[in-house]
Amino acid sequence: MPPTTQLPHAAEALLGAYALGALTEAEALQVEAHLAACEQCAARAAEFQQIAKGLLHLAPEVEPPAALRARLKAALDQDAQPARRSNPAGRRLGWAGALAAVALLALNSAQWVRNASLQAQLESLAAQERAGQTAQALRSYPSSQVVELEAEGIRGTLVYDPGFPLAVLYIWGLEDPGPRQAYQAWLISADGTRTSGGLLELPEEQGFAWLVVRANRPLQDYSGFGLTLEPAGGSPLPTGPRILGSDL
Amino acid sequence: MAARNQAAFLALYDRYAGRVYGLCLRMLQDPAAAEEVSQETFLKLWVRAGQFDPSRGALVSWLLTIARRTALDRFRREARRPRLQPDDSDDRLHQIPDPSSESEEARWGSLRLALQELPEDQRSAIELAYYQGLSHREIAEFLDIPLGTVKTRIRLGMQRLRRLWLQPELPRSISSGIDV
Repeated sequence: MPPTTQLPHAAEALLGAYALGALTEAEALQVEAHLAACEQCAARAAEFQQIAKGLLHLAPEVEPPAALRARLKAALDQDAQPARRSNPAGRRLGWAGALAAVALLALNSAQWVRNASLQAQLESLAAQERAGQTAQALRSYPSSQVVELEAEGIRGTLVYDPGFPLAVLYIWGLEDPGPRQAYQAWLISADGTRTSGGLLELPEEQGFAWLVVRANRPLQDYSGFGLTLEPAGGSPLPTGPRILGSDL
Repeated sequence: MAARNQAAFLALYDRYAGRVYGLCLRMLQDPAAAEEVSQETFLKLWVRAGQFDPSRGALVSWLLTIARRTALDRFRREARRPRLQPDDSDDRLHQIPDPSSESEEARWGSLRLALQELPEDQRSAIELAYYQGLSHREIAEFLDIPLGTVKTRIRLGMQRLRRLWLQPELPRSISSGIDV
């Protein structure tokens, strides 16, 4: 067997492993570069991919514990309450509403705690989808702005369109604030007034977070952006240390 | 509307939960972890149902793909390895005609048989890669054999699966015509 070299078809020997996801990133990139240029290998890769997909179906069916169904159903019940479907998208409640709902549930009684964390998981997934879609939509506007944010060990990006009351914040490297504190985004008006832009949720085990920042007015009406550490649930006005900020 | 969505969701759950949980159990080999990953998979279905495109394949395949990725993410978070998955949303991957008119179940049955026909060393290399998410380097370390041997086992095993499972079904007209 020829060893992996830079020969044109060396990638071919790796196609099976590529379909199984068994390559290192560098090898996978090498294969992808070859596939883009070689129709024969692309066709072969598609066949291997079909085999890999088939392997998904080979595990024997096993009935899951009944508790799983009950938990999912409870999470859906919470997600489907009609009063919480008043936003224009008509599908899911807004970010602040989600957090409020989760907090209420958690307070309600101990038996809700599990549902609350499920609900949070559900909302977090929905918000992740929304943040991605919103950022994508914002980027496609010709007038959209991207502000790079940087502080000690923290990097972030704020994407917004001056004409919209909306921005998407992506941020890396934040420390877990613990259960009693939360990161809160602020929009700063020229006269110094601070308006809450929402609370940032840090997904577990990731140094990465995002937030769709919702403002009352188009972003061009604000002169700055900031992020502070506040008590859990947020504050009406900033009270805690400023983590990072930027002019808009 | 919401109630109807919920009923539909639960019907899907009842139909496919055993498939999803079975795959999770196979991959994670731990009932509690398999339950958590199954839960996350179905929550993703609920949130992302709009992204499902029926023309691209059966819902169960979509669900199982999500389940596998979620399980692999979990492995990755537990720092078992940082790696890249091939993106199987690639259009190219959907251009191959269905190799057979058999029922889905019969197709998976024939793949299962093909897998069982592989020499044990090739089969286990493929399973470690796909179900445990190990790279061929990690497989080499795990089995304490040379990397080149792992590469060869995977390559031969996948070629053999292709011959056993895909080629007998492929009519001449849609065969890619390559024989390597």
